[in-house]
Amino acid sequence: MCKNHNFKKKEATKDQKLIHDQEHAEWSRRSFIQALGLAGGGSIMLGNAAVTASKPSPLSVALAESETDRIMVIIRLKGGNDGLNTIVPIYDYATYANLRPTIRHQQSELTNLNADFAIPNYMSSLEAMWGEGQMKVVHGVGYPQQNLSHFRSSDIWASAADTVIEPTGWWGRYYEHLYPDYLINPPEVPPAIQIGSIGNLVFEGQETNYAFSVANPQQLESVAQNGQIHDLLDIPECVYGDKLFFMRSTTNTTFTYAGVINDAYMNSTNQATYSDEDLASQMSIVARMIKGGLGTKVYMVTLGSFDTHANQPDEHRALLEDLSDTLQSFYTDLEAAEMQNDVLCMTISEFGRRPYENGSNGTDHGAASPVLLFGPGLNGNGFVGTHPDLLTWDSHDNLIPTADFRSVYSSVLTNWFCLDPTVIDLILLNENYPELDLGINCDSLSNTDFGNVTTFIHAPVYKNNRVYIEMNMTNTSHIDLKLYDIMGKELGTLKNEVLFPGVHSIDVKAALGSRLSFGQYIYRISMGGQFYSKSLLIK
Amino acid sequence: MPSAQNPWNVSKIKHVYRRLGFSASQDTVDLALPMSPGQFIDSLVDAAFALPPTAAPPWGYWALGDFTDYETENEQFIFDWRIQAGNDFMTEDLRGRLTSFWMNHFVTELEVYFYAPYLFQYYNTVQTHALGNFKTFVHDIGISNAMLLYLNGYENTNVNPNENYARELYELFTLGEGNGYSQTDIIETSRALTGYNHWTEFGGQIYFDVSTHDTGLKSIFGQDGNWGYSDVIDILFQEHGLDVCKFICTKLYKYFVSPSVDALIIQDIIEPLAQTMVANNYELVPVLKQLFKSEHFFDERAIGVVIKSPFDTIFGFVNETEFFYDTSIMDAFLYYSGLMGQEIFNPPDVAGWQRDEEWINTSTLTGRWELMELYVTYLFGNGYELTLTDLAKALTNNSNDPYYITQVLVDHFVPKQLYTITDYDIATDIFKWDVPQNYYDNGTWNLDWSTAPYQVTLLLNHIARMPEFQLK
Repeated sequence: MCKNHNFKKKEATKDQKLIHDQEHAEWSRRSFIQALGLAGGGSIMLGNAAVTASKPSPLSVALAESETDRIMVIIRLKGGNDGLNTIVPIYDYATYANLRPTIRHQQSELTNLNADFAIPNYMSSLEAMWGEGQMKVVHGVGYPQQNLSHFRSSDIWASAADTVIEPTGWWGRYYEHLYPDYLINPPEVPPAIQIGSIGNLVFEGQETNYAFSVANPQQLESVAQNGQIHDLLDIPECVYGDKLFFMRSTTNTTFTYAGVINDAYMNSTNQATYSDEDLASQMSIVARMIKGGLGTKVYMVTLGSFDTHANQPDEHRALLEDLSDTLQSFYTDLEAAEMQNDVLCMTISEFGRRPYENGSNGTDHGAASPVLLFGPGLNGNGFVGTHPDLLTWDSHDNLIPTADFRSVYSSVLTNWFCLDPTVIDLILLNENYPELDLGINCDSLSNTDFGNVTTFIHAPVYKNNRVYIEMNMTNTSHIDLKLYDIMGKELGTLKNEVLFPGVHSIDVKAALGSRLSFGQYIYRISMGGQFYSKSLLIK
Repeated sequence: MPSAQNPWNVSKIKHVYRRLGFSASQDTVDLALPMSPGQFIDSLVDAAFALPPTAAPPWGYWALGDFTDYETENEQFIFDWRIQAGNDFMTEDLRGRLTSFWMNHFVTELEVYFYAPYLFQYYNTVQTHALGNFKTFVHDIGISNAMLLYLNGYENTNVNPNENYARELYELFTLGEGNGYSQTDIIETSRALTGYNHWTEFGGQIYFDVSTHDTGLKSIFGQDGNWGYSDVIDILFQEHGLDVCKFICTKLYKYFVSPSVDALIIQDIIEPLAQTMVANNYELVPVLKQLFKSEHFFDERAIGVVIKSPFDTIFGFVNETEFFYDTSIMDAFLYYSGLMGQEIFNPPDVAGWQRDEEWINTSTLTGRWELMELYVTYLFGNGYELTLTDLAKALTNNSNDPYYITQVLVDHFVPKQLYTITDYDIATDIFKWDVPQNYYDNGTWNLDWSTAPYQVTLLLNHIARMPEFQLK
């Protein structure tokens, strides 16, 4: 179908063709793998023989030993939350009031958290949490050269990269390393679950997106019982093939993970009252999945819009009420199953808002704003860091951050999930950020010596019209590299020998020795009982 | 363009109707066969251009004082207009398609302003300009009452400027993020846009008055002057006309042809399209004709590569079957589309629906299946069951071969023959249901059997769950 097209391509210059090919490789590989990666749990039949599950990687073993059942819920405040009207700097109420004479909270409308900061009275549900030592506030979180576009700034927060365009997210990168054989052997439970924020990068990896989208778990039950699983390996070429792949695998996932999620959901109940509001509905589902023993460690829920350019007092109030009431319900619910200590909630938002109000009873896009953390695991209440100076502004009249959001990420990864520094480096793109004292620690967990946990780096590389598989060997090891076509048929062994440390590059076509037609293929490396797979494109 | 190697056939015609409109019945498709592809495209574009906008309802230009019972009436009018728009999209071919497209470009969210007269006026502006002059479109949509409220133009005054519209004008409506404008341009532009802050009565026409207009000197894209609203549009197109055209043409290509764009496509299709747009002083008709007649549009590789939106899924199905629907069924269509992520008049944010693969996740996908099952089961259980078998009879010339019937019905709804041939067998087994095989073998079974409507129901539900069904 796709090969015999009569579409006449103009002769492009060599440079242009290279761009074309690489970009073709980008989108085609990405969507193909995205689709393939969504494949449900268990093993795909490759060549009619069930592929055995690989033994856990050294990394995942180390993590499994160190991890308890700790969970994080990311609460995305979409649109840019006005921090100044959330955590009000009453230490300089006069300046605050001057900046926003119309939309400020009156002093009588505020509840003190301490002598310097207060929350609006309507967030009273949080007052109890604060009092019980289950809430912390990180002041002034942002990044240098604040970008004022919702979409670009959300990408920055999700990808943890502010100076380059990074198409993967911080959790996506983590899961990519945790599951090196994900394409063939995805885990039995979804690595992450997200409600809302479709398209957000947080869980996006190079190979696939690692989150499962849920809005209504009850829908999934009937689907799990009478669906048809589709063949993911019998697929045509080109964009149509990509889309068909995507549709088939989403369909499959809907059947496969559906059963697992539905089981957890049906295995538990809500033991607290939630309102009918947006965040409450989402968190009540999350609570059931956690209490039902699903096993997923990271959730993301979405509340918005916080983009209050006008009519801020009423709109902001409704959202913050939902936030505070829901968090109280959520932790009460978890407490009924004695799981409250294991769950940390963290708010994120793409930016704060302008310190001064605009003429429409609202505020425009800002920069630094607070990150709120919740859970008894915080071991006390408190403010972390320094509040930004109310009157010192950047070139766009916005508050200057005193903490980088990646410091928050880093501190959570280090002290909540207790990950190894080398792993955290991978997640945060090899940049270091000052650690924050959030009150969380790994003391309650057994002290495991991670030793040298290195990850094996391998990828397809395209140059000079040829395709190479590049592997970076850190130790001497025997490897077995096989190539499979899209029908699941094993085409041959590209390498089967002991390799010494260093970068090795294997020309795919040359190593195979036979003709390869245009299309997508999977390669799989076996090393030390561990499997690693990725897909590549032959042109 | 179709030729001997790439023939003009039913599959191509359906492709045109699915992309340019919301699909069409078999009879409509057959009518286009004797036409040449170029004639056919021209006829669709010309018809859409000539179609007058939907007539104004009695309340179309009301102000608050014209209502008797505001709460009740406003809600009812909005409900009515949802149904009207749903019907328009489904029945107006290219004009309906483009209205839907532009409403996802010049986005407003009804739930933000929630006022029926402004909704009608916004919709009317979009319909009027859908195949018109793009520059005029940009000018007129920015001062539509709904837009002034949605992106805070109404609150943008000389004393209290509000940047929201200026930013989205450049970032989302004309140039693309970060492309050729600076934060200073945004600030200066928002000053120039001030003044549209007045109405004589609540909910009436918002008009310009110089009292709230910033009359000072502004510097926009390097041009200095006491700029006002129209000046901003003029300067934008004067300084960045080609950029605007490239941005819009890229969007049109991705929406109508294929979501995948690479450097060769930009060079071969999009840049010439943008040149055409500039050369025609921003008129859309020549651009659309050129796009739809391009080699890419009819190429085999462009078929089946777009993931259907919820509207595509359900409106397309209704047009392809001509099954019964009424206002309450249309209401259900719109309600479920909303559950699946496409709430009419309410994109999730000012960037609009991102479409393509973002339509689909495990939750919205099951929503689509449920909607289809709901509709077909409704028809079966409410006296329309014979229309189901009528469709099968019409398409298969009253065959009694279950495999053939299955194959024809499947192929009627999917963009390409199923890639995995055994999928037809699976579908046939479902269609055969509990009727013992011998009745098929000895030819006794046919589409007049009392079980036949139920069998078609099962098959249609199964087709709706096929991955291919979500592609067009």
